[in-house]
Amino acid sequence: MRNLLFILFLVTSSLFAQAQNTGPLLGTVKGVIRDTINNYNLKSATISLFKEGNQLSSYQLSNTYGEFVFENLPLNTKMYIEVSHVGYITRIKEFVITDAKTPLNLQTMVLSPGVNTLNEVEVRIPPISMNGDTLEFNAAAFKLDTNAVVEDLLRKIPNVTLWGNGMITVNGREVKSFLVGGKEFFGGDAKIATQNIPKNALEKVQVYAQKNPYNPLDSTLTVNLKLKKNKDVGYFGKIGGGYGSTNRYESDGIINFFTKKMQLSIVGAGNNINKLADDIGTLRSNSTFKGVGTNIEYQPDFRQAGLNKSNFGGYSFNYNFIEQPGADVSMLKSNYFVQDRLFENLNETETVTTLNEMNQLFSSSSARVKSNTTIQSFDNQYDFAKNRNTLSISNKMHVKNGKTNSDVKGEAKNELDELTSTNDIESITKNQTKDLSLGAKYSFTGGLHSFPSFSVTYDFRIGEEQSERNNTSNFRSFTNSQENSDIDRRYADQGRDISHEIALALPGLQSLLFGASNVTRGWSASINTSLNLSESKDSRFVEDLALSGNYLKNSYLSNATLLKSREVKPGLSLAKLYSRRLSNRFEKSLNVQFLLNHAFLLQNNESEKFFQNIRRDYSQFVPAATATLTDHVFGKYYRTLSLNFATRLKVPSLQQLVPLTDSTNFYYLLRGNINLKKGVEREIEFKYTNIDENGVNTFNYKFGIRAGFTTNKIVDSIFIDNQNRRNIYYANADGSKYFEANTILNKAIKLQTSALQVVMQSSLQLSKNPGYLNGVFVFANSLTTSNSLILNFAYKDKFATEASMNIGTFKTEQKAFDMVYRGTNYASSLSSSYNLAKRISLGSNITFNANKSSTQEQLNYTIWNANATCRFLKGNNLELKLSALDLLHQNTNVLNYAGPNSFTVGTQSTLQQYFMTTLSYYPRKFGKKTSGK
Amino acid sequence: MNLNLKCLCYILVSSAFLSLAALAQQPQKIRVIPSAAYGGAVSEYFDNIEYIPLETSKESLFGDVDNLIITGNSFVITDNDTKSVLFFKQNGKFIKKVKSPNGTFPQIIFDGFNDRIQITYTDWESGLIKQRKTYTSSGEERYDVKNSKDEGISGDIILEPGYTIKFNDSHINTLSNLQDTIIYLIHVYKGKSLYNKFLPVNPSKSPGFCYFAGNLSKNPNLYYVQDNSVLISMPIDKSVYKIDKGKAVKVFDIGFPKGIEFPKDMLKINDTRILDSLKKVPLSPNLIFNLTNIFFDKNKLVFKGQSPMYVSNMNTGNPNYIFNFIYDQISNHVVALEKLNPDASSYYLPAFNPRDNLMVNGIRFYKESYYSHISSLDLFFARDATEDKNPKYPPVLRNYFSSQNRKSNPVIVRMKLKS
Repeated sequence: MRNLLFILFLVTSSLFAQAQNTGPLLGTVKGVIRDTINNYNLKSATISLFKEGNQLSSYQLSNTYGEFVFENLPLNTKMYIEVSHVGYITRIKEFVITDAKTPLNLQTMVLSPGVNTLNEVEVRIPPISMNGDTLEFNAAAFKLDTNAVVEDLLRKIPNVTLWGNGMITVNGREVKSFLVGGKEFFGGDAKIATQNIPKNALEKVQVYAQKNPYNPLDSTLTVNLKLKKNKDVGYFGKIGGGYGSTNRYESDGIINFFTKKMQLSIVGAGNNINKLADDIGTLRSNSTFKGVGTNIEYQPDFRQAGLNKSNFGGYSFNYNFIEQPGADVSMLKSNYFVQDRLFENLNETETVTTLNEMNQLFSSSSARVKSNTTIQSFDNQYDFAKNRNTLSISNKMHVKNGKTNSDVKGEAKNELDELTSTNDIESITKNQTKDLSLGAKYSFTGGLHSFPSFSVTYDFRIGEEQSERNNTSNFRSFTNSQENSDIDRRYADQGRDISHEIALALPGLQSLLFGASNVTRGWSASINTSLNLSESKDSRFVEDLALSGNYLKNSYLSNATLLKSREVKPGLSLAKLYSRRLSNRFEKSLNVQFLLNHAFLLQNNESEKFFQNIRRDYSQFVPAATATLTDHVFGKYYRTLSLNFATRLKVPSLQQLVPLTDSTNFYYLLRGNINLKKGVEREIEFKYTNIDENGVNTFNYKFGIRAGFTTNKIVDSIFIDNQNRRNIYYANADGSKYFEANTILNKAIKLQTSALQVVMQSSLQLSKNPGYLNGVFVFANSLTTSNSLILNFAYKDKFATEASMNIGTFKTEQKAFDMVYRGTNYASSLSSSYNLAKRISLGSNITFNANKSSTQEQLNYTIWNANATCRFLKGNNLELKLSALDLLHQNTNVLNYAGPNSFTVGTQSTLQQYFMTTLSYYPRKFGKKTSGK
Repeated sequence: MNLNLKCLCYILVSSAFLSLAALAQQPQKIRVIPSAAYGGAVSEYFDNIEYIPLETSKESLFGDVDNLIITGNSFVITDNDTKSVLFFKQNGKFIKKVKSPNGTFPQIIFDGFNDRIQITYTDWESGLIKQRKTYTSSGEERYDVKNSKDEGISGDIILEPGYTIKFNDSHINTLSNLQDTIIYLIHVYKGKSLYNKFLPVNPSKSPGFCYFAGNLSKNPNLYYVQDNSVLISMPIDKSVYKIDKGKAVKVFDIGFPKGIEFPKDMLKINDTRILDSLKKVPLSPNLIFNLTNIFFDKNKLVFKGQSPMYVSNMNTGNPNYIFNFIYDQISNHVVALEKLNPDASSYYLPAFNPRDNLMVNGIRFYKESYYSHISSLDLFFARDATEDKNPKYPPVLRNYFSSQNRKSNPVIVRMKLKS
């Protein structure tokens, strides 16, 4: 079925392609544009080609010789060209091509200097014009539906392509920056502007390139939407709600206000269909007037664990004190976001654990979890830049309140399928965390003859945590009844963390020491030093239910600790840039940097438990190095190759060193190891990127390899008994290694009226993890691969589809016990949207899933969602949407994963079939007085 | 005739002569509207267009022509990519490459009277002169010439043997404490002695000029000595003076439309607060601030507008930026080089490319020939774009296109202005 789907897709694509490339015979028209008064052929004149019904078909700018040529035009069809140039009267010329073999030559077309007036010639505003080095598309010249938005206009412009992944290209080149009125518009996501701003509020679309001074062929393409006068104030948004079968519902409300200096979004949303958002940006970009198309962001997630009932709300505010920010910046940003999430999940798993060559343990678990979490985040940032000074001040606040009820029933069996033990744990947890951070950064950019450059950063953080937990645990041993245990325990925890961090960077040290002299032979040096002081105060009060029926203090687990840490990281950076450039040819550079850092860490823990009163010092040289090679052959390719080396210090935590062992969970008893030493991880990374600069049908690719090893890695040392009780100690072990490789291939194929994009991604992770199992030193090798192929096809604004195929494999091997676990997951999907009529569109996405593993037969299931949308009212502001989700009723959320010496399969609760009707209203106004509709 | 009558007659006659003399010296007013300047096919204005590929080898490979000096028997080029000075024969054959000392970049000037190419090496960081060397036009080092850091022909215009022009500076960075003193922008030296001085400026009387300009274009390669005199423009004002060792005469007053010309009103403002506020107004690179490369050829005045900003390739290529003009004294027509289209006479290849050099350094002139240069990248691009015109390339270009590629050295273009 999966393969059938792909064949179907490819046949469809090729049919589209063929439809464009075959058909009736085609002809060519050409000509020359000339200013006879000033006696020269006009380069950069705009020639717009119109077919029947005044439909703009194509456009060109005249070349250096004033010439233009349009090819592949239909024969015996009435057409006309409109020739325009700033400072000249626009001219129109009609023609019919009758001969396919000989190009129709319109000869020299003379333009007269002057300004267009209605008396001279009846002309419209030219659709395209060249203003200096800016290409401008005049919105008024494109006839569209009165409710059209900027995206509809862009799709009408020949050589402008809107890709399925949100990318926009003009003449094959990717637009890197998308602005409205010269400024970022609601976070910079082009979709917010293109899918909301009405075409009628737009004066023109400006396309220009920010050139690279050293490479005439290299530049950053920018699109700026210039709004009509008085249209730069307004609001837009969405208010909608839906209700469906099995009591499913959704509601979304978002309103965005904007003026020349201010942008404000206010949102509120709620649903019980696993539509989750972590920020306002996600809600904003998925509530556009145009609709979401084939986008799968902020959609009911059928792969999500459990069932979520969520409510969101918040605002995002942005104020530019400078109306047209350039080098000078003065900007305030403020965001608030709250999400309340009710989560329910039933998780049933079966795990096989290998103990040694001979013995395996079979455990099963059934966990029912219900939680209610409210998270609030509030942040503000002020950025200021003037002359050589840059200042950034920010604060963040994060408050989380949660309540979780969980009921976990576990049992263990031996190889003879005999029950050895059971452990049931019920717990109720209430917790609250509060985090507040303040940060400030000041930078000064000095010069050779002025005060030297420097930057200072200060961060302050205070965090508080409070929680209450009640655990009841019943352990039953079927091999030794004396080990049976019932515990009813209450916890009350309090914690408070405070940290101060100050960092100083002093670049250009060589200039400071030696002035302009070249004593350092091109090497530059900088000092980067940081100091972190932190204090963490935790207390825990634990009570157990006694036989008397009263709760009595558990003196062992009740505790108070104070951890004081001081980390100093002095560092010296040495760098040298080797570069070679030949104008109009190539640019190559090699940048080498060595970071000589040393980490000094002091941790002093004071505790009510004498064995937790520990003081540890760590000192480690943590060098790093990077080498980046760039090779840019102008007009051909831009390649970068980088090699990085990093050292990281891994310090054992208090819980790894001297934990207080809580016996509530008999299947996981944390023991710790006071003799743990620091671990040191060393990593090397290689990355290669190729960007094709040939312009059309580009082929870009990336390739990366990362490998590392850790000496004295802190690893698990687990003792598992035949009742699946695990005592977790820790140990230092050498031999931990990992290797990762990934590649992305991206090929764009631009057809005449459609576009096809092919993306291939592959990744591989290999790791060798040492550990101890029941006292035996073992290595667990794991191999994970992931491969995906995505085809994205769009035909004008009628049809868009995305097909993808993913194959993921994993393998865990423990050679010591001759044990191998394998699994494979397949997923193929086809997502399409089709505009059936002016106000009616259809959408469908179907995913075929297959999971196979060592311990389980292949499991197949298909998720098919479909919807139909219809717009009402004059301004298309009202939308009725009928959705059918999981039409085949096959969704099963399968669990399938491997640990170092275990393999787990199972299922968990998930969203399943429902039908829903949604009604949405899109309030919108662009301009002070008139509606933007 | 009594004494009074004699005096009266003398005054009348003297006044008449003086008026006639003043009338004769009235500068000619030229008004240039770049957008209305004439264009046309390159063959309408130039003939004998030749392409001279500069030899490409491992040793001679260089980036771009940052400065070009044409001597009787060679092309001398500075290249900032390879930090070197390169000597090529007139047929493009490579002669020699002189590398700059570490951390310096080269500047060159040519003393045609004594066949001296002087190279000045300036430190990248400090801007200080580190060394000077002298070569012949064919690339032989001249050990007979004394090269001290402080003395030399650098910065001078050699008017005639023994007479040189040196530039003075009246630029001020701040408008406080304006000095009431006369600074002559041009000093004429006879040997080492001051012979004459011209173009006086008083900072206290002309604060606008001194604050926004204060000096003349100092690169001697932007001036052409013809008949022992040179045409020099005053910045902002754009009055052109003909200067020889004995006098400075204002000969042209060249004006541009508002919006294209750097505002001349600055020169009349004495209020330092207004001047200070005007300094903060952002400038456009297509404004014309000054004129350079001014010379006469066949009754035509050739000149180039200078931007008030540092101009790099980043700013060029804009079709609205028109800087290079030829004014025909007979027809009063102004032609813009930027508006000339390639045609069969140039094998449909560009004869000059605004992006490469035209806007930055202007076209070069030497013994009735005009010189430009095109990068191989642009030339190969133009060849590919004009294949359908079936150009008939001369052997030099046929050989160039068959043996070279877009990474080869730039190509010099030589042409003559039509009468």
